[in-house]
Amino acid sequence: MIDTVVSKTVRYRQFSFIRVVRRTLALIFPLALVGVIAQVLSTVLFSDNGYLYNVFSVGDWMPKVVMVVAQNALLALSQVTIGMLTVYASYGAARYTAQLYQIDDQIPGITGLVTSLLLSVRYSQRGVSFDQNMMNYGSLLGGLIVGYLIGQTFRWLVKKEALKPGRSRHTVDVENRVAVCVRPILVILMTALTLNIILNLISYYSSYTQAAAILQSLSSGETPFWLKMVVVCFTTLLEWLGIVGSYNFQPGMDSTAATANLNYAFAHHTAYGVPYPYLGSSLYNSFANFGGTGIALALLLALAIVARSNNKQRMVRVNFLPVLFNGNTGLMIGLPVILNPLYLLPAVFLPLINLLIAAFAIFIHLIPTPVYWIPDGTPGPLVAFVGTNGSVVTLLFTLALLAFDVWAFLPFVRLSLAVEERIHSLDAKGEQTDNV
Amino acid sequence: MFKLTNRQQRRSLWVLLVGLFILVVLLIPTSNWVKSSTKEQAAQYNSRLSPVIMIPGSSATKNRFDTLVKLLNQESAKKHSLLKVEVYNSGKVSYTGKIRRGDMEPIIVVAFENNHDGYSNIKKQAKMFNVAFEQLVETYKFNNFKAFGHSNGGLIWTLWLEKYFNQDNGVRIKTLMTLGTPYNFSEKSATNKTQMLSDLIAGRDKIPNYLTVLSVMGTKTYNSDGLVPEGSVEAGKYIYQKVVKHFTMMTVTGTDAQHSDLPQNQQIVSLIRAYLLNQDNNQRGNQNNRKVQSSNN
Repeated sequence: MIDTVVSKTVRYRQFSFIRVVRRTLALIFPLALVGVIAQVLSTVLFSDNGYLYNVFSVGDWMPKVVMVVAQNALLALSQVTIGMLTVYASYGAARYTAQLYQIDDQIPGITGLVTSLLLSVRYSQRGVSFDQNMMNYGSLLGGLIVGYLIGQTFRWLVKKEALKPGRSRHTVDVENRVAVCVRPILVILMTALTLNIILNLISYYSSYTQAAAILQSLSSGETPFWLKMVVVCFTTLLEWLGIVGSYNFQPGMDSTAATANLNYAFAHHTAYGVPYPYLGSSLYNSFANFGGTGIALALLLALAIVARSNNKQRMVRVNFLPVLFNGNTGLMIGLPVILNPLYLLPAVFLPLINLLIAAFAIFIHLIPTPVYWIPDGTPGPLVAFVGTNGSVVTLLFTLALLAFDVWAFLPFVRLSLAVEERIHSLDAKGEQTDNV
Repeated sequence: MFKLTNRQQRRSLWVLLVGLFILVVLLIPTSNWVKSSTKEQAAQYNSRLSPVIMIPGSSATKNRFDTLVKLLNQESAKKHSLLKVEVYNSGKVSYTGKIRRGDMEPIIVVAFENNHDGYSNIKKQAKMFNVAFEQLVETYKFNNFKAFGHSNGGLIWTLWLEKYFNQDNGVRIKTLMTLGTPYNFSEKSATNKTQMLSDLIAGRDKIPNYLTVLSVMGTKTYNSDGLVPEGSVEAGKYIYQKVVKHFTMMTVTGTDAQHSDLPQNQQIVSLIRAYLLNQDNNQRGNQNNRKVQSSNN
């Protein structure tokens, strides 16, 4: 079986786009990791809604100055890393695409960066500004595609000999190189500008957030259970593709159904028998989101059990802390999970299975519905515990569910590692030029 | 199944064990926090306390409404207890009087050490009021209240609603009654808007849309209560009308219709009974429906 999977995967990885994606993700991984750690620290420890902030009443004893400085510093750090990851992805993708066709990669790289910025520009009455949603981790796929297309454009529009890679000995060389590139740069920037104007005209940006809001409203309240399932699948699939951010489920405390549940629990001193027992957002956050979308914590633990190589075990260690507090970006990019066919099945469908199990457990009154407020960044295994006002049965149920998820992930991780090993040895045997 | 074949795996195992240890340790404070936070939220949700909070006008002290409260308690089976709060410029808050056990509708008067007139002072007073308000919610855990403001007290309420009131923390303001409140200071006509009125109009969106507002004025001559021009009280409509659920303006004439006498005016006492206080003694604090009954006594 491994042979078929290997040969299929090898073919998949030979797509130039996928090759570019793998390299680009490896390039931006350190930035993603630093960014996600900053993000996790800032939410969990220094923000009003954070988990550790509330549990240790940080606001009561930490000097306000320290809080503000820490908040700002961490915000700055995460803004320039995760907040601009799409821009860097577009830089990397353009570079590696150029490398793939053996042309000089510096100018395509910079063009990729500029184009990504240009696409994010948003016009308003006060002049221009940048749309964060277009630049941050949430639009990663877009950045990768843009970079790839830019690399291809250079390949089509520039004669190969004119852009041979290698060290430029003289300034003249550099100047020659740039001169050759003026035409593709102009073509790319003009196209990007036109696209940007169209995006602004059709107010794409606001429809983007509106779509996210609609998706979110579908997941809660009176919508039928199967529809919530579809929404969850769609969310995890998007995350696998590298499109996240605003589609992510927010804790459903703001919705009227969640409030109705909460009020019921307050009035009756129990969360059994609430009016909306199968609320999409609260079930999802409590039982299908350990460590972030796609049950990253289970994947990480499975990886720790199976992996032998230094690289993978190091990946486990550096990602452990952020994943514990639901920051999965580092793992998604570093492993990578994004656009990796071997993780498609568990990442998309395992949350669904979790939801079904949890709904059944609520149905037979094994556990109550989580209704209480859950602080941001509560460790995955404790979310349901907090949401049910410290129900020990629920905690045990959650841990069992997590163990099941780890077990379910094991074969996929094993397969993925075996395939990688196989590809590695194939490459070593094969010709040196084609190093995947 | 877990063979520690190499150092890397052993190191990862250590990291995971430390993580597990952290989780187990966190479990205790988390559990404590969850229990206490839920208890607190439930206490607030289930609270039947629905106080009337009163703010006096400029130059007045916390004793400003003593007579009014006495009048309100006369001929009424339900006696309201009176808690007086004073906020000092230092931010210190002092309390006199107390809320009687079992009294679900106490009256709380909030006054300020800095009780001067003028927009800049009103801004400070709104901020000081917020300090007192947060303490009151924390201490008495009510989830709804009624507001009453005489003269500048109404301005403090309006400014506070726009700048400080947080609609998400589970406390609702049911009714606001302002009495002779000079929304446009001493300007007779709303065409000359003072800075304060412009600011209040600009921030009106922050006022909760479920609120019922009554603006009552007195009149001594045909255009003023002797101190505040009618036009200034009427300017309140530019803030509240079309923003809140109900906005009603009323004019009181006759004896005690002079600006400073208004809180002792018998008609005002009746209006407070009819529109501000809960009608039904058994009504739960968290229900917002009000039955206006005429056959109360």
